[in-house]
Amino acid sequence: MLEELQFGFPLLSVMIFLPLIGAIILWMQKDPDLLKKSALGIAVFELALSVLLLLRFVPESAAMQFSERMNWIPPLGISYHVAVDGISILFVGLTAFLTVMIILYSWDSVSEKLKPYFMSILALETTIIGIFVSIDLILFFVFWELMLIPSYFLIKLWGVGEEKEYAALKYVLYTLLGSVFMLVGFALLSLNYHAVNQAYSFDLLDLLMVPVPVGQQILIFWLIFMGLAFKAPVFPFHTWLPDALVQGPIGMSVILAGVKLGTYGFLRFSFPLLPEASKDGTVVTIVMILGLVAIVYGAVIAIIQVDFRRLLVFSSISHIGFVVIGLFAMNFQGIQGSLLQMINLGFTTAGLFFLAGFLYDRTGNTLVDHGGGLASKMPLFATFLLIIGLASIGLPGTNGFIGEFLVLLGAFQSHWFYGLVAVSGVIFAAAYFLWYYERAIFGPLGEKVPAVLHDLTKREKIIAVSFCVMIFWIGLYPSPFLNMINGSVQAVIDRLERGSVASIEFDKRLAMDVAPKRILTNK
Amino acid sequence: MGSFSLLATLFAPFFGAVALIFVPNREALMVRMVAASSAGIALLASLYVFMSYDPNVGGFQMITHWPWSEELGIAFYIGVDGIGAPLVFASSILLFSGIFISWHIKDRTKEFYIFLLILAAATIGVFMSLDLFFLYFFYEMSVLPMYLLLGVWGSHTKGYLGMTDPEGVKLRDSVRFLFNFGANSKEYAAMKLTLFLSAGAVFALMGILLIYHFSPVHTFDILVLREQAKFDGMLADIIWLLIFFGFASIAPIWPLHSWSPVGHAAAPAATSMLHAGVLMKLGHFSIIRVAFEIMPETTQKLMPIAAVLCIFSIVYGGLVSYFAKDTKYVIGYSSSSHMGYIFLGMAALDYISLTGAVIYMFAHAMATGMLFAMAGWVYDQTHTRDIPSLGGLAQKMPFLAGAFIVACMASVGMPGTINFIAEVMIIVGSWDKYPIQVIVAVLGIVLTLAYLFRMMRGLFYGKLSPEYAHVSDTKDWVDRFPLLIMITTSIFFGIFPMHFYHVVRSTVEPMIDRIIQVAPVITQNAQGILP
Repeated sequence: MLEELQFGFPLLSVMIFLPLIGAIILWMQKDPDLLKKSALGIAVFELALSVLLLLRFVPESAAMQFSERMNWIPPLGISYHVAVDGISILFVGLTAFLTVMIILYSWDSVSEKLKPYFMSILALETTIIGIFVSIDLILFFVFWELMLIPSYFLIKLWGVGEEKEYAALKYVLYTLLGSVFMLVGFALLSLNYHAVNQAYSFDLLDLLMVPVPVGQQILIFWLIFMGLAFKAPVFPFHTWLPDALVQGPIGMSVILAGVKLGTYGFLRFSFPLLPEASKDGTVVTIVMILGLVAIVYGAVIAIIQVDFRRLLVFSSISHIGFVVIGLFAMNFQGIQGSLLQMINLGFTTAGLFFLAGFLYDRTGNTLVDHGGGLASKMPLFATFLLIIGLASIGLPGTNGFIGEFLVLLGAFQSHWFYGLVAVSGVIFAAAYFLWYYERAIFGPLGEKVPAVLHDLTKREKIIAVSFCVMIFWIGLYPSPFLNMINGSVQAVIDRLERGSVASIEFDKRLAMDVAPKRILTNK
Repeated sequence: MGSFSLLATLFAPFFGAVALIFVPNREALMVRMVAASSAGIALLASLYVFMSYDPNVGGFQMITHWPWSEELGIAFYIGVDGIGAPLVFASSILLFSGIFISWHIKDRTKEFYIFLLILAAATIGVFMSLDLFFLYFFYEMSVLPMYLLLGVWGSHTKGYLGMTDPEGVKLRDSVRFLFNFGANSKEYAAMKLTLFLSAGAVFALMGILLIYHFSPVHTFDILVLREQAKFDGMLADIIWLLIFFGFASIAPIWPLHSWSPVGHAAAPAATSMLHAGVLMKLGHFSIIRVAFEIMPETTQKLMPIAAVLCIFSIVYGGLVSYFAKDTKYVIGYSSSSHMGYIFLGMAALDYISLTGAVIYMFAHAMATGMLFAMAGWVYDQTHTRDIPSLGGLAQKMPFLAGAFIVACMASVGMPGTINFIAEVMIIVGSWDKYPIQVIVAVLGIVLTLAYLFRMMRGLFYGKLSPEYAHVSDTKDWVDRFPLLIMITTSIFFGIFPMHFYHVVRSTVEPMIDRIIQVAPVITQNAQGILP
């Protein structure tokens, strides 16, 4: 993961700043219709750029691609260094895709303060893409913190719940609390670099060249863990999630539930930089148990929810448990499956949030007792809800099945006990989804269902169909996606297996071009 | 040609389902013709598969092997042996018949056929999978269409052994609903079925992943695993029990059966046919394919469990059938009771009894398919399934009454039908090892005779109630044709059973040899049999 490929055109910088410039353009516009159209145009252009990025990405490679580097604060070794590799590439595409969908969704459903809303959405896209492409730790941290600003306003100003202000504040405070710990962890890494090389650097690729003493690794691991666990959120740091997702606007819920920033951080920083700490017995056991508790807790709580959006929140917590289990299984299938599952959740959970939004726009809430017999009123809605819901359960033929299967395979390879507990989550998932579906969609027409209830509009159909296409594409033909991530996943596995010192030796020899032919250790 | 036919059997229904998406719903005839022709292709291809299976060669034939993920050891690997071939054949017969049985469905015809085709194709896929990943893939896939077929096109049950549950709808909003075994709405039946079966599938998945994890070679290839994987001690027992009870939940064996009659009763006729006819056999088949093939020693050690549980299946199912008042409950419980015979044949681990059990799977598919099809017709005409309120329908439905007698005879095991051959083989083969079970099974046959004749008399003879004066017989060929196919198959193989017997026996022979430890596994891989 130390090689860098360059592209000759600053594609990533353009991708980062295009939405921000777009937000400024929106600021100067007055006509609401033109405003929407330009927001959509910018988001679609961004999506087109991300498709170009995906097409020009070299698969099966661990290299940092599309790399760009500029000095920013040289005395502290902080640089503007951006690149994508197999771990981050799909997230960039996912973010661009979800932003287009959010703008489409908001077309008619957001009616007040249009201009700041679309500006916030585009600014949010800038920060999220920035998070995924940053290779410099401080640059990453800057985007990580900047993301809170548009998020805060989105929840506070356009939230749909009664307690939206409380939810916005809680979200920001929790994430800030975690990120303070993370910043300390980053600083310790840089100090360690200074002790060896007599200079500061926050560049991931530089830090990867210096081994960290094992004792210090464990400390740094937990510091970074706090930051990531609050964001993910890993059980028991999840308490902000129900508030933010239920009180906030649908667009924000889609981003918070669909883009797995926290778990991405483990793969980006914790595993490569701190391999000894990450595979330390105690650490793995603690995190695995947190993951297993999340799977079962999230699913059981989801069963008794009466609000569809809260149900989705807890199912999301359960799914994060799956991702964590796969990551800390520390083997190829587990990490591959987790990474794919993070992308899958971007399509399934986010898709379900959109469907919840469609229902909310019509009936004013998503409570189960306001439903009943909706299948007869809105057959298309019922169909899409079933397809995307079954994908989130893991029906064969959809993306959820591939991701879950790989994660379970990895978990069983790690320890059969983890596998056994994790598998039980599948049963609960079927229970909570089908029971909700049974009550809200099937059965006799509910008393509180409005008499006039039109089915999905054209705009909503486009959103639902786009999600279904991605769900079946990954479910039936996952190879293109797996090929893109395989190289980097293997590099992370190699680093974990060799340990930091041996990996650094290996990389040095590789740099001198005398390395033995690399032997893949796939089982 | 052989492997092409096998692929055609699997993919014709899938492509039919995809093609139906593009047919407009108002073209009702076209929808039905597309469904019927794709099922027809599958039927012809599977007939070819079954007839051209060479019992002298044995083993797995008509193999297709496409690598899917080298590093995980997953391949799309299909082929049939003497057990898979007849079951593939039975599935496509029932699919083809089922499409004609549901010819008069008016509500969302297109979607109904799409899910029916997917259900059948997934079932067929399990019967030919030689890779554990795809076996599980198709298995899960067959469960979920059932949810919609029951939930959307099903019918509510009026009474459940007289214990009606008027509070059922109110209870929907309490968590207790999930455990409310007396409820009788179709949605409840659909959800209960799906949850039971996915829970069972998850246990089976645990077993499959444990096999993968603890085997020396990391592969899902059943043929490699049965040679190389060796499990012993506690681990082997745990894996075997997970596999057995995971798959037996769909079979369904006695304590895990409660979803099945509720599901049968709520399902539309064609779905009940496929469900009772072949979907339940996925359980027996997967136990044979996974547990018998990969873990022969443990099978010999633990299979007596099935011999004990099958007594309860036979007796309990039979008694409930006798007292049930709903036609579909009678047939549903009779199916669960008859599944006990298959478990008995499997548990005896004898050449004759296992061959009998496999033939019984096929025979039962035909017999129960006919019964459900006719119960469906009666329900469509009279809008009730309550036996005491019906009677004398033979005056109005002479053809159906005649066919019903044949179906009852087949179900009881009358000489001349293939059920007779299968039952005799199970009884003869198991006598040495399990005499008590055999006596119970024979008494069970008497009980079957009693409840089926009781139902027949209740439906067709006696006094015709004036409110059913308008009912009519099956007149169009589309209505009689499916019944005639099943009757012909049942009687044809009853009279000419030898090809059938040789096909099944060719696979059962080496399998039982391995289980009772007289011969090692015969090496066979994707290229065919190695010397």
